[in-house]
Amino acid sequence: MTTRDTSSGQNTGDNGVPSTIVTVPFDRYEIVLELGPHREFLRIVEVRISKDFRSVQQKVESVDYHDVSDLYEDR
Amino acid sequence: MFYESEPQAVLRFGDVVRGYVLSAPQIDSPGTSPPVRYRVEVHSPKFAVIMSPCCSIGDGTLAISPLIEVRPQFFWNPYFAENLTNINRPMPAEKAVWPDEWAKLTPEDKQKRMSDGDAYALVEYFIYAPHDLLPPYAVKCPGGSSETGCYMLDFRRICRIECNKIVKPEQAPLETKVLQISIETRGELRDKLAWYFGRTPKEDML
Repeated sequence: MTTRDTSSGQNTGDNGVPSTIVTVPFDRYEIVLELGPHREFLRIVEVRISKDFRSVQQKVESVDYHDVSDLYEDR
Repeated sequence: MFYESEPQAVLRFGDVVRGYVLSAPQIDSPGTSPPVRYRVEVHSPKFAVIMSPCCSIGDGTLAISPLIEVRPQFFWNPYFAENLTNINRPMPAEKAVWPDEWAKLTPEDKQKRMSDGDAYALVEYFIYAPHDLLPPYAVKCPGGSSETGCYMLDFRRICRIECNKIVKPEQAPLETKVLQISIETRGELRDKLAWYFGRTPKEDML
């Protein structure tokens, strides 16, 4: 989930309700939601297709690792 | 956003909790049945993290891991020192070591490592970002002593507790809950934990 807090950027005279934009992954989609100051649902801003089409299994298999643990051990 | 600003009234995977005891049996002579020499040491960490998946919290059982202090050596790497939670995500090979160490590698070794693309380093660890509720502590950094509010999980230290009050996520001792991580952070923790247990050893690869 990614979050953009719009509550801190209000200008003088701006009486809009402070809100937060969050992106929630849902299956193959990403749902962009607007939440109120108490994280209550306000509206769906956007529904888009996730660009990461990999399953968890595919993610696990596609990532190798850097074998550097020895460098960070106590000496 | 690493933590939720308004935690839910349920226990969730990745929550920081307190007030639990953990134990790790130490067996001197495994293999005999029953083992003749063993010790069970119990300790109560200041903070711990729920490692059970959200839907598997209940039935009086919880997987949990102590939240421990980070290794001072992490601060030798400027990429980590800038933001220790970089350890939680795949990274380019040259970011996984500090510049002096990278400079020691041969061009061929650098090329080989870079060809792996972004990958996890320090696979056993997951860093928790500073928070007002987590007391900072001193660490010895390259430039001298410093202070950090970061803590970490070591996946090798996960253990199980039993508590009859943990019936289901919303019917549990919620007073033990200190912090809840955001959906994004929980996704990173889930990805790294799944990768830690799900990787195929090189010797098993065809």
